Amino acid sequence: MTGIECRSIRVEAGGKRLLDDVSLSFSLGTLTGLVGPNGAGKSTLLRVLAGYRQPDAGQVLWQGRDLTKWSAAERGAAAGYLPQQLEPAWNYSVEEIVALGASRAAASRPIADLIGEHGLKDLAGRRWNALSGGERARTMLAATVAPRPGIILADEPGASLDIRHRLDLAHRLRSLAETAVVVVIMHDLDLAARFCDRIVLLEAGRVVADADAESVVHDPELERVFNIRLQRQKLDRDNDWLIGLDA
Amino acid sequence: MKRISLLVFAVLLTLAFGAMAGHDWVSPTRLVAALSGDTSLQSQLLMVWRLPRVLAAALVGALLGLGGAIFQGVFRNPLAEPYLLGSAGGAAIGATIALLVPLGLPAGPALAGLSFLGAWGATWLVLAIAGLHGRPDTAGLLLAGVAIAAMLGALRSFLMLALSDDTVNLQVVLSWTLGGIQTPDIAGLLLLSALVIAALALSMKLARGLDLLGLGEEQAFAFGLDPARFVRIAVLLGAGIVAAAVAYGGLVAFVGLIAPHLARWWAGPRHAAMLPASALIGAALVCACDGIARAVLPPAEVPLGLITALFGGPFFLLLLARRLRA
Amino acid sequence: MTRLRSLGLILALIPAICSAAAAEPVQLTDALGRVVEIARAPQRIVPIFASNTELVAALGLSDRVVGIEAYTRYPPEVLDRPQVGGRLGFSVDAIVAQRPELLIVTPSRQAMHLLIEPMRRLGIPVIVLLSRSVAEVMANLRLVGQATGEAERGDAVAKVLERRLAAVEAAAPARRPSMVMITGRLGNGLVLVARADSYTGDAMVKAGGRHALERTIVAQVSPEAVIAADPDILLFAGRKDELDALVAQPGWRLLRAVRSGNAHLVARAEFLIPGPRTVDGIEKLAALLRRTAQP
Repeated sequence: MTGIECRSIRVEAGGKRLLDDVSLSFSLGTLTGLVGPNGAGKSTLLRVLAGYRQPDAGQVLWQGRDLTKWSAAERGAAAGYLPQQLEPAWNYSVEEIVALGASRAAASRPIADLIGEHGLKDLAGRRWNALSGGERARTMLAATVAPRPGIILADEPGASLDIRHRLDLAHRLRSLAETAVVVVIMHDLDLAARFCDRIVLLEAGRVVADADAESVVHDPELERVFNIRLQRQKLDRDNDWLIGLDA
Repeated sequence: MKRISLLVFAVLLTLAFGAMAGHDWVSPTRLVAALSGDTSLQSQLLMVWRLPRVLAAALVGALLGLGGAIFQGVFRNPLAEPYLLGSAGGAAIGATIALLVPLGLPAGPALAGLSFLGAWGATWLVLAIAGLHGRPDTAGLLLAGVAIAAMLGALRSFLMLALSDDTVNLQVVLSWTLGGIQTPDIAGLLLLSALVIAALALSMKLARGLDLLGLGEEQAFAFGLDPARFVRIAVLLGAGIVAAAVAYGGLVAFVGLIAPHLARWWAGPRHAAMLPASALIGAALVCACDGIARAVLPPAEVPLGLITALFGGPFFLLLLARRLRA
Repeated sequence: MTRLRSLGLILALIPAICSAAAAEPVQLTDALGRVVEIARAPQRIVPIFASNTELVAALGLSDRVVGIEAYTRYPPEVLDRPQVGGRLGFSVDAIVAQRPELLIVTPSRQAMHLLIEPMRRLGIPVIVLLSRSVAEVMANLRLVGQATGEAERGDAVAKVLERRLAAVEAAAPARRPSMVMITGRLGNGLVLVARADSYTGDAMVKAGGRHALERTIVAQVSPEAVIAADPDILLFAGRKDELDALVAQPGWRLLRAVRSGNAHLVARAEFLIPGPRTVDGIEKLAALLRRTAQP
């Protein structure tokens, strides 16, 4: 069992139920997109899956083992978490951040390789404050994948990137999903439809739809939940679906 | 590595300055004579009183630099300073009791021991009140720290008023709170050196964790750190280091704030390089300020805390000016 | 102590001519240049600070003392009088409750600032005394005598003390040993020394010594400076265990005075209270110096 699973997760805060009896399982080789309107509980669910937030009820299992039994070091080596935006307190250099990522496991990939693969070779010594959004995203990705984690969780990692960098990131996540469990929160339904194998739709703390991407894209629940009308278009090339959004 | 060696050189320079500075200035030739075994009163006084004093000043500065760097790393804030979590208030109470209550213990060790216990004890109290479970709540820690510091300050003032009499008055305690290195005897100096070595070794173990914390709590967690447990350990170690500094040197302001700043600028933000740099810079700062404190107003000494504050103020004005210009 | 009491008794037998003279209002200038008018000989006196109490007692007027400060320990007959202040300051209410006719203060511990204005408004005369030298202490005796309507008594007491001082001076050995008197230790390791320009420093000189330290601006001095001065004699105003603790600190055993047994205790009451007992202290110190001068 090499995936991650959550069972009957309930999270309450301030009298509101953020997640209500959510049970999901994610397996190796799948890129899952978590979508839903603002406040649906996507970030909360991701944090629960990462172990950062303790649920009020329910259980999270990584590779079949209860997450609370994992040590911090085991956790760090087995998973990677891509945040929406990183705000480090200190002006680390690209190399220093990638090295921190690699320090999670003894068997991490060599830093030079990581830097080369993510297009950071000319930026290795540059400090965080002097990096653009795209450069920061590449740096974070390189650091995250350094110990070859089997689990990758991402919280809208392309939120502040331009379309070119968003596409690059999506491609990379896609290829990472071949050898890991990848769960990504996506606001961009277009990218979700094109790159995810599976889409989970959340609304008000509940799973409303959970199927392969093509089925969810055609599910009328999608329109209802976002209160929009969707126009679906199929591209001939690559069988990609381009969804135009109508008010 | 080259950057660290330059810092070591700077420390050696300030040690030499400190050895020469004082109520009377000692020329380098006299210094060399004293070191090579001259038996005149002046030379013996240099070896027995001034050199241990200068070394103690550097060692205390190293502790302050380390403590300050740890606190800034834990709170992810370049304005965090070592007295944040009540250690100043606790140390002052310990010192007040040691100085004003006849405990029947030898005065020197009692003062050092009680101020250490007070400083460290106050931090334990703050940690207990803030209650670190799960997520480390640095804001909660700070709040608890402010509350404890206020209460301890009031308690200290009360103790000072209640315990002083015509032979031991408020000036005795106030002089301690303004900061000042007391010349240690050989045993004290050896203990202080051992403390510095231990502090450095233990702090280096925190280096990776502090680096990770610097990325943000959530990211640190994701990178395999247990933030609550780490913060607790780091705070206790940092507070212990600061408590040791306070036991030997009283309440010296600003060094724990400035040294990490300069260390980050000189050696980069990675804590494996920044921590030793901060220790060295702290050592040089306190050694230099102590020399000035002894030389400016002979035969009296200006309290060390005043000298460091005199430098601290303009330093931050400079930082502000650079920030405004950028 | 016995000397003072017998002095007081003898002087108390002087006939009523003195009391008749004291019936007129007295006008005098105190140490701060304040002109103070005292309507008639005050029968109820509150001396703030032990030194002022001793001055009043030296004139045989202990029974006129109606309020003392908490740190007063001498003379024994006044110790049961009501306390009007102490470590936490002075209570105007407590003072007024004693219905004093004269207040004697020194500008220490805020006494002056706290008391002069309220007393002025209440019409209670206050004289402020300073003791910057031994001579001024003698002058204070005379001033207090004037203020209490016992001017002749004050003059007589002062004269006796001055004669004793002259005797000490006459018997002083030719060579004056260098001395440092340590009066306390601060929490930061500095020591408090008797400054040359204080009455304590003056007393040391009157006893036949000279100062090892150059003029100090403040009383707090680095131990290094004291040790470097290497005085012939080290004086310590305190207890033996305190002196032992001081000498155990690094560097003190380098002092000639310590190594050759010339570190001596002196009584705090005799050197740190500017009153008649200072002369006792000077005589004892002079005797000590004479003993040490002998080879």
